[in-house]
Amino acid sequence: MRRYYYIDDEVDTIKSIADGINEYGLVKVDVFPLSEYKEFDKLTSKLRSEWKEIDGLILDLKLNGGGVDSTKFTATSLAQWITSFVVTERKEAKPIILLSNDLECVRFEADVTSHDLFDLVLVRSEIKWDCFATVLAVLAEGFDYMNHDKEKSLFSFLRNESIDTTSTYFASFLDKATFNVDQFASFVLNDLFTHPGLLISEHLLAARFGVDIVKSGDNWKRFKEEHLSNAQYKGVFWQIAECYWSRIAEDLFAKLSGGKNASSMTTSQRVAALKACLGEEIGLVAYEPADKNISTYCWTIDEVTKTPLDSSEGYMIQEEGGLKPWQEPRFLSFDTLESGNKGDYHLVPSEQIRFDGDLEAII
Amino acid sequence: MAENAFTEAQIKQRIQELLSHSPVDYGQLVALTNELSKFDRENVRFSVDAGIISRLGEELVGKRDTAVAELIKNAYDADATEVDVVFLNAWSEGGSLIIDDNGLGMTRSQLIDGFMRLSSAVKIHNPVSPVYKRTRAGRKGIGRFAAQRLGNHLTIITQTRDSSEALKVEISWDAFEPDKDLNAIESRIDTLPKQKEQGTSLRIDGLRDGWSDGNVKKIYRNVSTLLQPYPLSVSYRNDEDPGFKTYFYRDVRDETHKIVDEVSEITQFALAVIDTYVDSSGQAHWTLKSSQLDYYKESLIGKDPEVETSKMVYVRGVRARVYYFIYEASLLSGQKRNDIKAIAEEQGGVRLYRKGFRVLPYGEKGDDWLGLDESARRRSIVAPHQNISFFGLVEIDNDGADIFEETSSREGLIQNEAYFELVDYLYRVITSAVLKIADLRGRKGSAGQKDWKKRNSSIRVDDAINDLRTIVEQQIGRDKKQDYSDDASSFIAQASELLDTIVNARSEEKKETQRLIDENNMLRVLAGTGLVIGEFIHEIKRFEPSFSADISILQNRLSNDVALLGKINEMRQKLKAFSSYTAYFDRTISRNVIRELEPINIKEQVNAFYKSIQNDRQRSNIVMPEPEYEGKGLITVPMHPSEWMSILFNLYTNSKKAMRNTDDKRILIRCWKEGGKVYLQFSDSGKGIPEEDRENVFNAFFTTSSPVGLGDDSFSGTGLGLTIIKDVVTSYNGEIKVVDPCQDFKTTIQISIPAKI
Repeated sequence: MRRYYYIDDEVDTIKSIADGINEYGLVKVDVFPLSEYKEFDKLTSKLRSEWKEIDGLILDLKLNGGGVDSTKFTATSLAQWITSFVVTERKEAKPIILLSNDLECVRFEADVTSHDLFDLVLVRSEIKWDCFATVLAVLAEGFDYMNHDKEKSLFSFLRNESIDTTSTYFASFLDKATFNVDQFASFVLNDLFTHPGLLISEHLLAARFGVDIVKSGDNWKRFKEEHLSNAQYKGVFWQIAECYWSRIAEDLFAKLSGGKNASSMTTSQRVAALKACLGEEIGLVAYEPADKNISTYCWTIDEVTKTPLDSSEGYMIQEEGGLKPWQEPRFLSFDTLESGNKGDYHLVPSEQIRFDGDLEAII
Repeated sequence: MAENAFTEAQIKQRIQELLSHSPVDYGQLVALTNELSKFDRENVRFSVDAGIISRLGEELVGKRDTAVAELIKNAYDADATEVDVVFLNAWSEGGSLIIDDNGLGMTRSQLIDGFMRLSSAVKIHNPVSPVYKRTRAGRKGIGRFAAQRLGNHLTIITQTRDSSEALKVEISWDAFEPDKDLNAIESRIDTLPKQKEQGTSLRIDGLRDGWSDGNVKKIYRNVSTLLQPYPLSVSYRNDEDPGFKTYFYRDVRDETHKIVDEVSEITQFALAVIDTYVDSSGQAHWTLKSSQLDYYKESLIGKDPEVETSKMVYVRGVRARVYYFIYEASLLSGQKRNDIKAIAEEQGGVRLYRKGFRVLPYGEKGDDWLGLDESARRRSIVAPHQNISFFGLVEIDNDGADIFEETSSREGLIQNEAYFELVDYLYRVITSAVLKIADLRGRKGSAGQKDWKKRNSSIRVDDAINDLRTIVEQQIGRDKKQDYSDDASSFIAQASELLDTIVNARSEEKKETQRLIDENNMLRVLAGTGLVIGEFIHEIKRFEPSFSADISILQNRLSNDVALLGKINEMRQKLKAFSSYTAYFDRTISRNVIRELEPINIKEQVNAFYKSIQNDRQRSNIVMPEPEYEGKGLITVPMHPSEWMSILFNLYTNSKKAMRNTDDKRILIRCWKEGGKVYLQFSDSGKGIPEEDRENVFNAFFTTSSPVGLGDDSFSGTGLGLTIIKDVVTSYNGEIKVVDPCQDFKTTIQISIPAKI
């Protein structure tokens, strides 16, 4: 069983949390005896000596948060040390998961530079322990697999023979000698899974097929399993995010619809084309926009409601650190913005101006 | 060393040979006699290994700054008045240090029996210095070890006033290596022309450490108890101690190369400087200057405290300067405050100099000649003014010398009328300054200043009204006795009438002020409670994940036990409700940290609120449909995000209270925009608000619920909820009022806030 160290300065809750994860028998989380290693050097030398015996680390963001075993450094400093340690001493990379409470999360968000240090950031109060145990096991498995794969082959890590390795975003992972497992894991978890582009979520997939997931119900599930499983991502960590290769999904649409190009059709045309080839019995319902949105040329989704959206009717979200060239922008619809349910998303400044103008025009 | 390399006879032979030569090789002689003594079969003697020098140096003088301080103290003990400490190329190790004093210097025998004799008893035999009778400050016999600690080569040049030449000794500490006899190591002594009238100069080469300015300042602090805190205004030569100054330089002995200046070191941090003098006519003048408080004023002070221009009867020829310190964090930064206070505890107070000579014991530690400590203890003046708050100097010049005579024992002035006048005058100048500073800082100065903050307004107005009443009443009294013209009578009648109006208005004003004070006090209590709630919520939130993990374990382990599983699910639901509450409060508190105002989307606020009370609504059986919104762009002028949370939560708790005794519990929120305003209506099916109370519900302390402690709802009874909302709403030019209930509700409160333009 994969073994994690859980490092937290709070002593009165740490045991329960570790027990909560261990309960499912998927991973073994040991509480790190921080009281004996409150000095940075002592702590790091302990980790150094036990590096082979653990498969990952769970850190509390504020190790200096005033708990009984409060230290003088934060999880960010420790994670930075681990990252350097792995690279400079050619050690095996291990997943680092950051646990945090909401307020600390706000503070953490301010320091964008430290985000890449963690493979996963979770708000403690929102965790479902059985899911979390699964995620920990998957991460440890994935890291271990990549650490021990001698070829360090992108094709095998991503389980996709058709990826374009000439693209710049894969460039740094092509050389076996310099392949950095940590960076690649971060690329998969923080880039591929989070931002639409090469991979898309189930909602985005449905939007591109013109389908209303809610109204289609089980018919969508069945359709997905029968016809779209070839597009599903099965590479490392696939168990923790249901994603689809966007290019393969487009090809599948063409194949299933008799050679049609989904992006130039409305949602109802897309579903109609599918039905024409596969029969009415597939039972898919085309998405029809509500409220202010009119266009049915939906190619993206509203990030809050997860409903299909024509990007020309949406407002572009500001991405942390900007958008990478191979990533697609994400959008919010007018209604989401107007209702104030935009969550923690912010618009690109020029888009905010456009929204303000649009809002003014209708009131 | 080989044991008994020579026989006893051989050594005796060698000694005889040495003594027959001239000059005698004393070094060789000492070594041979030491060797010879080892053949003494009846006695044994201690011998000392040369390594003891470096060992003692390390063990006795650990810190380098203490080492230099010890050498400076030696200069003080030698009755020096000035010492120059010069660091040459000393930023890094290997540099040189010169400690040059104008003390008494050493004669050859003092040098040999004192400096060159370890554990010399000279200072024990002579606990006070010969000229100024200073209590010796240097630790006994530490000096040479201090020099050894500092560098590897020492050159001493010393001369006394009576000597015709100077003595120079060079000691190379490296020669004192272990396994050598201490007294076998020679250091050369030379004579050379006198360098100055008297004094000793130590030059230490090959410094073992580098010296930053910070290191040097540490020495200053170490020796500052020897020093006057500011320059003496007079200099003289006498057997009375004129003081002792140390100057620290880097490389060159001039002003620009000073590392630490004793004057600036302390006095530049004074909160205020008080200068005072008595002119030849007996008029006392004083000035108070505070650059920190941007204040400067020259004033007079009289013999009679009530009359500034009254002249002193006896005091003449007196000048004083006093630096005033208040050891508060807002006035002096931490380390500096501690340093100065530590020095003040030893040296604070006001010292007295007569004709340039220090008169003891005035201003010594424990002496309270101006009665400042006593006055501070009495607390008639509460502003800080004990001796340690001051570094001061009083000079009596030749004009005043005859009036202030010293006692025959030279232990203070004769306590005559003049003396008491002087003490009284100085005490009053100092305390006047202290009170003025307290006033400038907005602090209470004297204990008699009751309700002192109001003194400037409230009490003065009351006093003026009373005075005015007396004047008017006197005039009315006279009016009755004398015949006045109609105009005059009418004027007095009008004045009397106006006075009554003022008195009545004043009485109302006081009631209103008291009401505001009460409200303010209550708000302070609530604000304090809010902070405690914030801390509390933050603290208990920590435990939520562990509760959730524990529940998760139970759920997994007891998955076959249907009955228990139901209970566990219930626990999970309760924890969820609990978490949604804590999350709401946590968000409100954390949002309070945001100081910037921003346009508020009412929909966003109401939706968030609606979601957060979901569990509570269900528990309380309150039916509350989704909020109704009419139109788009319900955005207000910039407001504080947490203010809407306060508004909505207050309205909600009020409604809950109003619906306590009814089974029909319904709430509805409606929002719309109209005429440049965003509207929100909050309706409930409670007991309603009578028409006559509609205005009052927004007044502080108006409450229809039971007083605190009597009801079953601990939030009842403060009567401030709607007042707080009204304050928030009106501060944005908005309006809040009770309107006719909408649909079939009983109460509808309507808020309007200007919309974002």
